[in-house]
Amino acid sequence: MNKLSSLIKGIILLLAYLVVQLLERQGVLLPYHVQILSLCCINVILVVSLNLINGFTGQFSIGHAGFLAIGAYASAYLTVVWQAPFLFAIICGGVLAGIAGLAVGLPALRLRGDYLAIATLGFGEIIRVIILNTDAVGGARGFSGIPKYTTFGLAYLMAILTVVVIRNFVTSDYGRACLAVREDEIAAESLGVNSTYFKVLAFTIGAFFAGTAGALFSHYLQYMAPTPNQIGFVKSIDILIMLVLGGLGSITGSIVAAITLTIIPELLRGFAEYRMIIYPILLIIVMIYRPAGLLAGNELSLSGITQFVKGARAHGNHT
Amino acid sequence: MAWHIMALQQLINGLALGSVYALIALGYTMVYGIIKLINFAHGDIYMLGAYFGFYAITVLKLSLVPAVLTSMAGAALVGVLLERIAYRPLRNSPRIAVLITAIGASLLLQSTAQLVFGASFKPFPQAIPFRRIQLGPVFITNRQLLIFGVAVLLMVILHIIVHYTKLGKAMRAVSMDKEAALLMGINVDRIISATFAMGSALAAAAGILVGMYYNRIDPYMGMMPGLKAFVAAVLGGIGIVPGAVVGGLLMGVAENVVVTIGSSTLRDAVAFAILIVVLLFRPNGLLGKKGIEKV
Amino acid sequence: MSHVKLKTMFICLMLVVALAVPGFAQEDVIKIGLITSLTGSVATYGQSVRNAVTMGVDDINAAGGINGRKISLVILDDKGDATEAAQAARRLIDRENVAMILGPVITPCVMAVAPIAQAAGLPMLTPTGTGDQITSIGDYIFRGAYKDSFQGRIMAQFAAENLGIKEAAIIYDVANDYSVGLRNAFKATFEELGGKIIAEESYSTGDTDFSAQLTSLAMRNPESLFIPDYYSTAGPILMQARLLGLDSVMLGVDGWDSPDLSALAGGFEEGGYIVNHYSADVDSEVTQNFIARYTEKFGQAPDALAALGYDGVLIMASALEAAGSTDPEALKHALGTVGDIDAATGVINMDPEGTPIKSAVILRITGGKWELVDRIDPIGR
Repeated sequence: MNKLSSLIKGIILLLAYLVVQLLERQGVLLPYHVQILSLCCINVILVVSLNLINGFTGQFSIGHAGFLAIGAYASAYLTVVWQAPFLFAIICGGVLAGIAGLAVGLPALRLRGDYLAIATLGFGEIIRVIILNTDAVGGARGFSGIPKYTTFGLAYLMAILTVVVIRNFVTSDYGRACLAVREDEIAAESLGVNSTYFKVLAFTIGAFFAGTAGALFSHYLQYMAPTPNQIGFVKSIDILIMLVLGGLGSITGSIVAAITLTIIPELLRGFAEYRMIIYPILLIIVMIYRPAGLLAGNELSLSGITQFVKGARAHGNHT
Repeated sequence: MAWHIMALQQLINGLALGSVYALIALGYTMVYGIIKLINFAHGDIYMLGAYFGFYAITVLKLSLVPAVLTSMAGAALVGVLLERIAYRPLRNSPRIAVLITAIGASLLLQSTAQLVFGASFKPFPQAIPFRRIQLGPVFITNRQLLIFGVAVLLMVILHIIVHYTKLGKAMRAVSMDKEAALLMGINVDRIISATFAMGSALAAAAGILVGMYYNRIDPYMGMMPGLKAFVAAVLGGIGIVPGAVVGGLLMGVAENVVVTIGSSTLRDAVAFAILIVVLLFRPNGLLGKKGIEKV
Repeated sequence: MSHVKLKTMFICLMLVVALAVPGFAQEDVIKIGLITSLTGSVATYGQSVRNAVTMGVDDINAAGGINGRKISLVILDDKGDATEAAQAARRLIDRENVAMILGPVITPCVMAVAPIAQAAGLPMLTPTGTGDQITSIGDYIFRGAYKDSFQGRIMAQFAAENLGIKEAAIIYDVANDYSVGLRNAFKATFEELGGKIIAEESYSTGDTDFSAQLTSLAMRNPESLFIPDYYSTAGPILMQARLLGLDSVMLGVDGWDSPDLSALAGGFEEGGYIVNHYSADVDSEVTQNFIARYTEKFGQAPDALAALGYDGVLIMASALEAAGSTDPEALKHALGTVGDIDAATGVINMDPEGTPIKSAVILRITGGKWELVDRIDPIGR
């Protein structure tokens, strides 16, 4: 059953991609729209990777944009200055970000809750300021002239890859250890789970994927500026909002939130100022009534859909 | 010009900046002490204070002192409302939810301010004329004196309230043990509201002083100072009132030192570097007790 | 509401959006995109440009349009932020299908948009961008103002030769191309002419406290201080500088030109000199006409940004007429050969590289008003 459901999912994903390509060729979808879809994929990667740290392992990290920044700048440097192939640059960006995740995770682990959050915010800002002072990547004036290597196909593929890897991680023994750490760290420790190891692991993996998303991002935007909006705490909070609204611990929620919250601002371009009033209000309401997020802990699965459909049919029969 | 004179002058500048941080930090520390919440929106209350003062002076045509008092009252109201609407329902929720709500509140205040007041920089009306006072080889401007003066005055008033009034006693009781205070008949909700009100009033005063000192205000002016003031509170020992003062002054001076000796682009990193060092090596802050986390 | 239902709703919404048919039935108009900074740190610039451009386009349409076709303006706000500017550019190019882009207003935003326009083969004309490197991005990029290297040079020359200043200090924004470019040009020329830069301090965009840097400078007591930045930062710097004891002659740039400067500088801009694009005192009929009409229409006197904005429209209109169509290639060629336009900021002749050959003026702030001190014509006119 597992193999069949995987096959079906794979086919659906492939179909979706082909549909997009077809619509683009027919001119129904403009390059502008495809760009937005690419951005959706990048945000999916960012949110799902943050979910691993915050949602599944319960570590409150709000410096995620720092990892994005490392991946973005490192990969841009490689492609622009060393003419490296894009794939290589993406991987390097991810690895370097992963190392940073390790560096942040290790000392930060002594902290809990609020303090951890602020410390990660601090790390994110420190990374930004280091980049701000590095002339080799444009320093304060930013890095311009980055080639446009990010295509929708590539972004889509990377998003799928990220989701698959993280989902497999979460459903594995490693993932269960992380969940144990999230639920009750001390109890987990007493059962022999090395909480430090798993927390650091979550940070590192999450950071790695954020780095790859960063590489895609810089080669999408073609210009990186070391401002809080792009790679600082404002961006970190943007990602956090998507994560929280989608639901901590729900990969499906993260995907849906990332896509929706990328598209809606484009739709509401005329109302950009109101958007930043609606989002926070929404956030506060969600926190008051459903603090874990809209889809928290729930995943959409093929079996889930078939059951829903069956249930609906059954109900229909009764009425 | 001799080195030590410049250093002294820079010290004065640093202390002025530090006084502002101290005023904001006091609000953070008081709220954290009482309900263990990092009120991310606090920096934005500081911003609102500046705008209330702006309108008090330009539209209501008040002079400086009444304008400051009006602004402080307005900010206190906003603080109390914020607590009532956004934080009180989450009193028993997981920490993450409250923190996120605080972030949401902060964003909301900023965006609303932008919508209502306009996004560009507004020049702050100069309510008092400029004057420079020579103190030996260095000098101090009357604005800097004002900042010191108001900061010290407010801190003294706060100290008196906390240590010599019934309200203060109740506040200390609640921050020490909320349940016990409740059992003792203290209206915990009211005390918490009062704490928010006072902290917000202090932040508003800081906002107006800054508006006058730097001459411009904008809806996003609270972000960075808010974060830095929080670091100052942690540096001094979060939840400890004198700690906020010490932390704030140190932060101001440290920032000035870094900009003078190093580069101004490192300015923001100073705060975060200090934060991380403190959290790792002395999490209870300079004035806090050395403690181990209890299970 | 069931979770699956929610998710289905979202996906449907996304599909609907993705398939939304772009654009609506359009009459025969020429669509022009304007990217300007209506909010943010340079809001007064952006609003001036928008006002002037709108007035210019209205004038053209009232006179019958270009070869019978009216101009339709799509105005987007970049909030003074480079990332926003880039997004706005994408939207104009991919979604709105504009014939060309006017703007952005400030150099950092221009630097983010120009590569996009160039890659898309769409002409871009920034009426106000002065950063040198702007036009070197490509042949589709044009500007309506002089370069910062020209501007910085002029100020250095004026200070050294006309004011007889021997030493200068500079305080500039290391995070802003505009500020850096001006500082480079000023420094090079000033030293070339025998002057000495005795101290330099820097800060980052967004800083409000300059006491550390200014105190350091005050210790050296420089004869003059060059502050190449926008009014929203130059104002506070001027005030803090005077308060911290600096008696220097203040030298500025076109970025100072704003009705808000005086309030932000607390009156301390008095006596300062700036290089600018035009002056209300210039004895030209076109200029005076423009000033009168703008003042009547918008209730305040136009600043240099407004004048440049209006002239940008004149350049664009001239090119559109000459090209006879909105074909990018033809338009690009026409823009590059625009000549002898009698504009509010002087006579405009486009050089082959995309920068107009224009004069500059030196103004002095006296009694709160900009006073014309000198006018410098470019070499090779």
